[in-house]
Parts: sequence; C-alpha cells; structure tokens
Amino acid sequence: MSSLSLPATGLAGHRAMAGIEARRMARHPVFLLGVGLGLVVLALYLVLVDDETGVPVVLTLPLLGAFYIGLTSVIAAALLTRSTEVAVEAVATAPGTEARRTLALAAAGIPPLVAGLVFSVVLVVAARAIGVAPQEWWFGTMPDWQVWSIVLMCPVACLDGALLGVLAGRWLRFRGASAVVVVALIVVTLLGQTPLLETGSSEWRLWVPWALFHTGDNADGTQTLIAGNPAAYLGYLLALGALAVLGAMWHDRTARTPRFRALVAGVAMAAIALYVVAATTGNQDNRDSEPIPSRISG
Amino acid sequence: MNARLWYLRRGVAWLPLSGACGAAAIVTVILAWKPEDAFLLAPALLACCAAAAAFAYDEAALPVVAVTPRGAGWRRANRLAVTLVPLTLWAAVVTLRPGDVALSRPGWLLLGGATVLLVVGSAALASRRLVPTPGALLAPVVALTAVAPVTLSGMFSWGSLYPIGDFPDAVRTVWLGVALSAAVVCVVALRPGVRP
Repeated sequence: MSSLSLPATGLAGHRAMAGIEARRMARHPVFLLGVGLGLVVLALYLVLVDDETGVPVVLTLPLLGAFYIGLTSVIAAALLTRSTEVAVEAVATAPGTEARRTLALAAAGIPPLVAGLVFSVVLVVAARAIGVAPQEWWFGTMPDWQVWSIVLMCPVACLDGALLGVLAGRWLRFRGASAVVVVALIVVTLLGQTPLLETGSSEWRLWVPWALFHTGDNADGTQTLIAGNPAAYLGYLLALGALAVLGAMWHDRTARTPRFRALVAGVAMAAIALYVVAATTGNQDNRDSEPIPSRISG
Repeated sequence: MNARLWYLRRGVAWLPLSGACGAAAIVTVILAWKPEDAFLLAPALLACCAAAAAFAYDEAALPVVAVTPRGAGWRRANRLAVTLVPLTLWAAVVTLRPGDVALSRPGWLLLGGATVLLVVGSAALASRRLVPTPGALLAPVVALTAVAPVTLSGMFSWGSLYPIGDFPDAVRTVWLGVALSAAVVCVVALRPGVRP
C-alpha cells in the first residue's frame, strides 16, 4: 500500500516507485533462476572446457549472460508489468498516470543490468586469472575499447531484456505473450544475421538486438572478428532500450504530448544514426586471427 | 462424450493455446524456407508446441470448479486430451520434415512427446495445487528452457540434445529419462483427489 501513499508528482515519489519495482524484479524467481543458470553455465565452461592455452573463445562468452539473464528478464519484467493489471481499477483511481507507473517499471531493468555487470566482471577476472591464447581476440590483439564494448554488450542486453519485457507487458495482453516474444527474439536474431556473417557486407547485420562479433574457433585454428564498430553498437542497444521504455509509455494516451512525440522521434533517429555509425566505422572487414595450434581440427 | 467435448470447448483456454500453435506453424514455414538453420528452428518449434501444452490446465474459476460434483479427477483427465493438439502438430512436422531437414523421426517424436508430456504434467500438477493459470508462467519458462540447450552445444563437447541427422544413443537415453519423468509427473498429477 505504500505506493498509493506516495506523492503524485516529483522526483521523490518516482524514486520510491522505481525502488519498489527494482526490488520486485530482484526477488522474482524467474529472474533469479536466469542469473543462477548464467553463472553456473559460465563456471562449468571455465572448469570443463580446458585448453592448454587458457580460456577458449572468451569473447563469445557474453552471449551466455545475455541469453540466460537477458531472456529471463524479458519474462520476469512482462509478468511484473501484467501483475498490476488485476488491480487496474484501484490503481487507476490513485494519483499519477499509467505512463508514470510504466516509467517506474523501467527500474526493473536495474537488477538485470547489475547481474550482467557481475557476469562480465567474473568473465574478465577469470580470463585474466586463467589466461588466454596469445592469438585469441582479446586485450592485446585488438583495441581495448573494442573488447570492453563487446564485454559490456552483456549487461546492456540484460537491461534491454527487462525493458522489452515491460514493453511486451504493456501492449500484449494475451497469456503467454512473453513466450512468443522470447522465441521471436531468438529467431529474428539468428535469421537477421547468419546470412550476412560471412559476406562482404557483414556489418549490416548490426540491426539485430544481439549481433555476433566473434565466430568462435574455425577449423584451421583461427578465429574471425566480424566487421563493425562495437562501441557504436553498444550505443544502438541502449537506444533500443530507451525506445522500448518510450514505446511502453506510449500505451498511455494521455502521455502522447507533442513533447513526448518529439522525444520518441529523437530517440528513434539516434538509434538509426548509431546503427549507421556502427555499420560504417570500426573494423570494415572480417578479420581472421593467427591460428591457435591446439585448436586446429583433425 | 458430449459432456466431455462441451467441457473442453468451453473450459480450455483455446486462444493462447492456438496462438502458440500458430507461432509453431510460423516457425515451421521458416524452417521449410531456411532448413540450414534447423539446429535452432527445430528447438524453437518444440518450444512453441510445449508452450501450447502449458495452457491446457488454465482455468480462471479453478477454486469453484475443483469442488463440483463432477470432480477434479474428471476435469484433469479430460484436459489431458488437449495435449493431442500440440502433439499432433509436432508429429505432423516431424513426419513431413519441412525443407527435407534430416530429422530422425523416431528420435524426434520421442523428444517432442516427452517434452510436451512433461509440460502438460507440470501444468496439471500446478492445477492440482490450485494454481488457476499455470500457463502464464510455465509457457515462457518452457519456451526458454527448450531453446537453452542450443547455446550449450556450441560451447561444450557434449554434443547436441537436438541432433540433426543421426540420433545418438546417449541423446536417446537423455530423452527417455525426460519421458520417464514426464510419465511420473502425469501419474502424480492425475491421481484422484483435489489437493496434493
């Protein structure tokens, strides 16, 4: 009941509402299951996938965090958003608008962001402690800012997952909508980039919500770093997350003021600009690493 | 028989169930178009069929209908028949093999049957514990769980749980274990009585 006694306007009231939503997310069993699975799978990989040179294909591992934490965050955030619908008549009479409650729900993205950061820190520390092959795409063989950008894609994807869940929860009212969103997200991400990965225009794959920058080990022991600017792509992902929040707030008709419409248009244009920058700057072509002798097949 | 059909027609949450089956149909079309991506699309198809099965026991008025003279056992047993919808869809896809994907029919029928049965058994168990709409939570979790092994097969040398081509004995053993678990869950969920 504390949320109903909060001030209708002002930063203090919003901060309190956001804190409530962040705590609900942090305690959600689906989210906690995703965090646990992500860290367990990473630990299993570090322990079981041994190689004399160190941690293999370390730059592909942010995918594990994005998959387990990010996708469970979609489900958890959608359920959190829908959960208030049972009390919609009571909530509608309380001070504040649906858009304000939606903005507070965006704070549900904070726990996944923190979990993704923890995952990334564990990954970097483990790679430093165990070591990586000198030919591996990692610090030393590529610019540090590119490595950090790819590693930080994990927490940003986790944040975006929660924001996408809020968007889905606001607009899709049928039961199991988050199941459809999760499967669609996976299928679109795959089909949107695999046809382009090994072509001369691989940088145009970057419109998908999770772009691959690393192929893993090739049969000849090399690894391919795929074209594009990962830092600009990180900005593009953040813009997608902002669009998800604005799209969820758009559900409230009273929020669609001229100023709000201008904000939506501005963020959409920023997303397009960042996509173009990501595709046209950075590595212009796919680059193969030096072969790692222990990874040559056959 | 008429009473059963009448109940299923009125009582089952056909909208989300058929929505998930519709999503499965869309994935099937994509699979026929992109058979080279079957390593992910076939599990995605399974995810949709399993998600559809998760809605078989959704019943908003559960606390009321659980104590009607007809009995909770009658209701749960009849709802199990709803599983035939996603199972039939799955069997049709595996039999027809869209895009000529090299799916081992016996292996993939076992895989899909075991998963759908496990999901419907879990939903029945939740319904037994008076959860009115287990599908809302179960469907997305099952969809994600069905696709999750794909991420692992590329990173570990364990082989894929969704083999395209030959269906290794080790994988068959895993899915037989899932089928056995599903049978146990169904038996526990469908035994007479209202509460666990």
